[in-house]
Amino acid sequence: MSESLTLSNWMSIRPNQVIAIRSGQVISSAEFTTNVARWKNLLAQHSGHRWVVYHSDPYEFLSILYALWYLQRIACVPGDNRPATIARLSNKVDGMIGEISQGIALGSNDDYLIEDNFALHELDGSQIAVELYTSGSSGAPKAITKTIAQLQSELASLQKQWPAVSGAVILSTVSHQHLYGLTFRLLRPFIAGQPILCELCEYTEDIYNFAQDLCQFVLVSSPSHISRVNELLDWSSLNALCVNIFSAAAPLERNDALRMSKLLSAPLWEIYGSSETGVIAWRSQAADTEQSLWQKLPDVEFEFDPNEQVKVCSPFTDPQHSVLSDKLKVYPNGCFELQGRSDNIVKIEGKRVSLTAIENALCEHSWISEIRAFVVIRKRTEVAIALVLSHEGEIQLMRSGRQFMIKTLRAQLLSKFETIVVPRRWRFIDTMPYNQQGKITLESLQNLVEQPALLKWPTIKNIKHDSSNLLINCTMPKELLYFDGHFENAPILPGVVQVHWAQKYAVEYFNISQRFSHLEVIKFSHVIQPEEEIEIAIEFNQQKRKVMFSYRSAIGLHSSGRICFE
Amino acid sequence: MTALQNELKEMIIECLDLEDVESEEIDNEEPLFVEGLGLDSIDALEIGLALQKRYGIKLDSNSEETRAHFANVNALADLVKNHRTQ
Repeated sequence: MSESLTLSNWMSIRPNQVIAIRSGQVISSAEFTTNVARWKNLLAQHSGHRWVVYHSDPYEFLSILYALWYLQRIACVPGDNRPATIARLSNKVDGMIGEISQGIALGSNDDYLIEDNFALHELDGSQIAVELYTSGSSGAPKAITKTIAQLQSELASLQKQWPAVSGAVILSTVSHQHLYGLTFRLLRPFIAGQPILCELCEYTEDIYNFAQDLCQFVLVSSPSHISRVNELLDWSSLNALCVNIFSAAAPLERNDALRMSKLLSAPLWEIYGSSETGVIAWRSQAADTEQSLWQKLPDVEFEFDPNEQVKVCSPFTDPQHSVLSDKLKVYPNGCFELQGRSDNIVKIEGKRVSLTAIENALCEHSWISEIRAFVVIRKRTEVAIALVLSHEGEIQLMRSGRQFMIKTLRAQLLSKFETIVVPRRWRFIDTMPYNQQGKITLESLQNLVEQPALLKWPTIKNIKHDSSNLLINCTMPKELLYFDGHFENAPILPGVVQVHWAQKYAVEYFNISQRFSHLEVIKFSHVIQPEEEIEIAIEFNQQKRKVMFSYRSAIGLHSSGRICFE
Repeated sequence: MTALQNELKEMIIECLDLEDVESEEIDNEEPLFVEGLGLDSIDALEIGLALQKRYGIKLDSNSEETRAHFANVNALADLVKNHRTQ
C-alpha cells in the first residue's frame, strides 16, 4: 500500500495513519486533513502566489504546504525566521505565513465552513512545491526550486535504498526548514507512514527521553549532535528500539559515527547531498576500514565536464543546479571521497555560510580597511576574522577598546547570520599576511589565532574630559603587546609607551593639530605592571601648546611628564 | 554561592574555548544565549555535557525547562546546587 503513495496522491487516497505525535498526543490522518482545510480556507482569503513559510512545528508546516499546494501557490522556505532573513525575502513574495512577525496564523476560531471534498484530485507533479533559500557564494540568498515530482522522485530513490519501516517514529535534531530535514524528517515519514515527533530534540538527552516511550524509532540528526552525545546516559536501555540513524550536513568523524551506532545498536547512514541537487550519496563508516567511501544513491549518475567539475544527473536534480561546488575524487567503481569545496562557502557545525558574505557584511564598516574571514578548527569549527583597522577604527580602538568593537561588529552580523556562524575569534592586525606571490594563505591566517590577541591600548573603564582636562580610569590588561619581551619574567609597561599613550589621547581629545615637538620633563617613579588599575590625568595648556600628564594608582605616582607641540 | 557561580563561569569559558571574555566580566543575571554572552545552540550542548561530567547532572526531558536553567549564571548555579550528584 505505502509503495503507491506519493505526495501527489496522498490527499486523494487519505490512508489511515498516525501523522505526528505532539505533546504525547497522536495526530491522525483525519485531523491532518481537517487542519489542511482550515489553513486552505484561511489562506484563500488572502491573494498572492508566493508565500514565505516558517513554522517550528513540522505538522503545522506540512499542513501549510498542502494548503498552499491545493491553492496552486508556492511555499518559499527560509532556513530561519530572523528579521533580516525575512526582510531579504520580503520583496520576492506576496506575504508571510507562520511564526514570522505579521505572518498569517491560524486562530482558534478559524474553522469556517470546511469543504470536505477539496482535495480529492491528485496534485500535478510539475507544480512548484517549494523554493528553498540557501546561502549563495555572493552571500545573497539563492532560490532553489523543487517541483512536487522532484521531491517525490527523491523519496522514491530513498525508499529503494532504505525501505521504510512503517510505524517507526521519527525523532530529529534538525529543522525541516532545510532540505535535509524537509526530506528526512517530514516528507519521507509522511509518505512512508512513519509518525513525526513534533518536538525537536535540542539535546541528546531529549532523544533518550522521547525514545523511552516508543516501540521503534528513526533518528534524523547531524554531526553537531552526534559528536556531542551524552555517553553517560543508559543508552543500552533503548536496545533494538532504533531502526536507523541518519546524519547529514557534514561528514562525521569516524569515531563519532561508530560510537553513536554502538550506543543505539543501529546502523548509521551518512547522507551526502546539497540543497541544489538533493541527496547524492551515502556511506556507513565501519570499524575495520580506515576510510569509508561514498556510494551514489540509486538513480544518481555523474558527468564530468572539461574543468573537472562534477555534474549530478538524477530525476530530482534540476539540470541548471547540477554542478557540484565540492571537489570529488571518483574511483573507477563509482565510489568517491570528498576533497573540499571549490568556492568560498564553508560549513560551520553543518550550517552553510559564505565567507564572502561575512566579509561583505563587514567591509563597508568605517572601522575596517581590509578583512578576511576564515575557518579555524579548535574545540569546534568556527569562523575567525583577521582585519586591518582604518584610521577611524584605530581611533575607536584607543577610545573604547577591542571588546566593544568586537561586540558591535558581532551585533551587526547577528542581524544577518545565524549565531552559530558568527565569528568568535578576531585579530586586529597591522597588515594582512601576504606571501611573496601576493596571496594570503589559509595557514597564515590560521596562525594568527594560535596566539592570543595582543592589545595596544589600556582597557578603559571611564573617561571624563572637558576642554583642557582629561581623566582616564583604566586597567593594564596582561595581553598588552608592550608587556611582551621587555623583561622576560617581570613584565612592565615601557616608559615610551606611557608617553605615546598620553600624546595620542591628548591629540584625540583636545583636537591638537600641531606636531609633537619635544619632551620637557619626564619622571618615572614606579613601574606599571599587568592588571594594575591606573588613572591617567592629562591637562592641555592651549596657549603654551603643552600637555602635562601623570599616571597614578593606589600606590601613588608612577610617572609624569610634559609634552610640547610645535 | 558566589564561589559556585565563579566556578561555572570558568567552566563556560573553558569548555566553550571562549576568547575576549573574562569570568569577572560575566554578570550573574546576564543572558547566556543570543543577547548577552551571545552563545548558541552548539554551546548549549557543550554546557549540558560539561554539567553531566562535572556535577553528574542529567538534563530533564523538557527542553523548555532546560532553557530556563540555562538562562544565566544564577539559574545554572541553582540547577547545580539542587541537582548535583557529585
